[in-house]
Amino acid sequence: MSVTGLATPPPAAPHPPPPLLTGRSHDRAPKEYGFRAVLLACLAVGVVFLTVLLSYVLLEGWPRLDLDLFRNQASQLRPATAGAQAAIFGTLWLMALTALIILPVGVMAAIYLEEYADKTRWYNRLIELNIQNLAAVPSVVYGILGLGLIVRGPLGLGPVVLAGAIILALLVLPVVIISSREAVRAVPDSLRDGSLALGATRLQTIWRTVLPNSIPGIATGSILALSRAIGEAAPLIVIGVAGFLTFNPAAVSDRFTALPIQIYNYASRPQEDFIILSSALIVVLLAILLIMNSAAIFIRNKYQRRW
Amino acid sequence: MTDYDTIAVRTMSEDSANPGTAESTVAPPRPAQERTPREQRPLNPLITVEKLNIYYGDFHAVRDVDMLIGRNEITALIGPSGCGKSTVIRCFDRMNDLIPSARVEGKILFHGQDLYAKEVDPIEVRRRVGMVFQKPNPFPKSIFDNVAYGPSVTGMKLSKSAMADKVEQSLREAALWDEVKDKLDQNGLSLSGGQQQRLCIARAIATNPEVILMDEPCSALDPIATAKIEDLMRDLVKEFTIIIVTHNMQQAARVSDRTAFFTANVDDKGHRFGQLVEYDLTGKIFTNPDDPRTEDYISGRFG
Repeated sequence: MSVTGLATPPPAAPHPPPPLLTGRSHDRAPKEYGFRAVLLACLAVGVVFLTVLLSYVLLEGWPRLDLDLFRNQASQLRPATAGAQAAIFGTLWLMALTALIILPVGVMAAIYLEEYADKTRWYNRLIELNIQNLAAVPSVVYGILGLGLIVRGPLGLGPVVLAGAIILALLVLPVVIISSREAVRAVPDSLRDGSLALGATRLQTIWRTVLPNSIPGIATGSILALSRAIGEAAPLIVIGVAGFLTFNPAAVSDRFTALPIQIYNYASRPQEDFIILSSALIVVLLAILLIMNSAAIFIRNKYQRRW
Repeated sequence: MTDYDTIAVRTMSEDSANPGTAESTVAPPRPAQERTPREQRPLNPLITVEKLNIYYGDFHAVRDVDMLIGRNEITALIGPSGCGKSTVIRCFDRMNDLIPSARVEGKILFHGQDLYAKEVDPIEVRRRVGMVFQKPNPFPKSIFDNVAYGPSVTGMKLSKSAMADKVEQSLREAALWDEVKDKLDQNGLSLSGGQQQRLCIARAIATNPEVILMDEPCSALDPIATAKIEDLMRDLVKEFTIIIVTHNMQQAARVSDRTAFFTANVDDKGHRFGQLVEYDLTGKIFTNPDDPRTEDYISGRFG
């Protein structure tokens, strides 16, 4: 008898609930397996391709992966003992100088865009849009720009280390700015508010609170930018960097050659020995890249913070 | 002298026709303070707010606030959400300057000097008026560096030992020293929520401000941490002037000397704006307010 006194219809017989112990599994249906297989296949395309490439280069260049590469200069006539000391040193000089340019310039540009620029103004939005565009400009265009303005033209530096570094710096600067901006933006506003509320100026807040906490992102971005710069042959060829050089640069105003160009130089020779040499140099280039990326990951992990 | 915990009970009780019942589920009354009873202390004004109006662009967010903040008092700003309490408190240390569209009209006189005068440097204001935020925000540095940050950026040239003394003194005043004295070089974020908030308080008082603003300092904390901070406030007010924004009426009743009740109105165009309804001694606001809107709010009829 219900509380309200009204007659209630007897409850209908409930439908029996579906049994739990069916012995089947929705997750193990063919469709689920098929989807996973497709995903794995797509991943395999990239991984297999990369592995094949790396193995081919390693196998090809193995006979010549020796210290002579570093000890000897390039040679036209004696492929068995030719090295690439000039190219290796040239690349190292180039990387050091490029890093010296992009780090302060890129980080400070990023700080201005994130901390000071009024984002509602049209010209700031224009700058933002164009930095994204600049990151996508083909590298050969920077070569032509460099040829016209830096190597010849107003600056007239000639095809020297400094010129190469400036051009590569311009090439990768958008990447540095974009990743530094992301790093600065990731610092929570609560930290800025806390610093400002104590009576710190904006400069103090940026220098003492924002920047130290964006080091992981900035370091990662800069090293990835340098990794891109290290492999660029096109702009260097356009500005007339020597394809064959037998001395190491001793100053920023010296002519130089770089690994990508040396690789190209050796690879376009008919003798088998030179092909092996170019493969060996590719391995050296990849090794330098690997070291740089590992450094980026190391710095990122060391300074990783959790708010 | 009125028992302020009875007031707290009264505001919690739904039946306001029985004001005297002290069937309390709150903690027993706190020991009496050494200060003069609240009603007998005259207001010694430190900050005078005159016709304060705050705009965000064209939107008139807070209208016509007039109040006097007393020296060495705890002033609470209470009211429902969206009534402009946080906006108002951020005016006292010029933190609204950080919002590009924010505009302030009217005067806030601190020691007789308008904080919003053209010649006034907001950095100087922030060194004299400290702020503690709702969510504890210690820097990801060591506990020592957190507290030392304020003195070092404000140009107090302190030797290493003087700085160490200053850090210890600030941490003692924030009732945190005993808990952290062995781990000053540990990261500030490794502390619990309540400890982090006390660290932020220590950080704020290390610059020797005159006023400490607290924007809902306990809303992210558990009741025990909240109680510790409320005790801390009663100690700090002997040296500083404290203005606190709180959603928690019982906290305002427990802790503050004077209370300002804000409310959100809607103008004829349908825009919400904040307005000061009543500002008086806490005892009066919670037992015998003048304005019926205050009465409604504290008895829980809205809010």
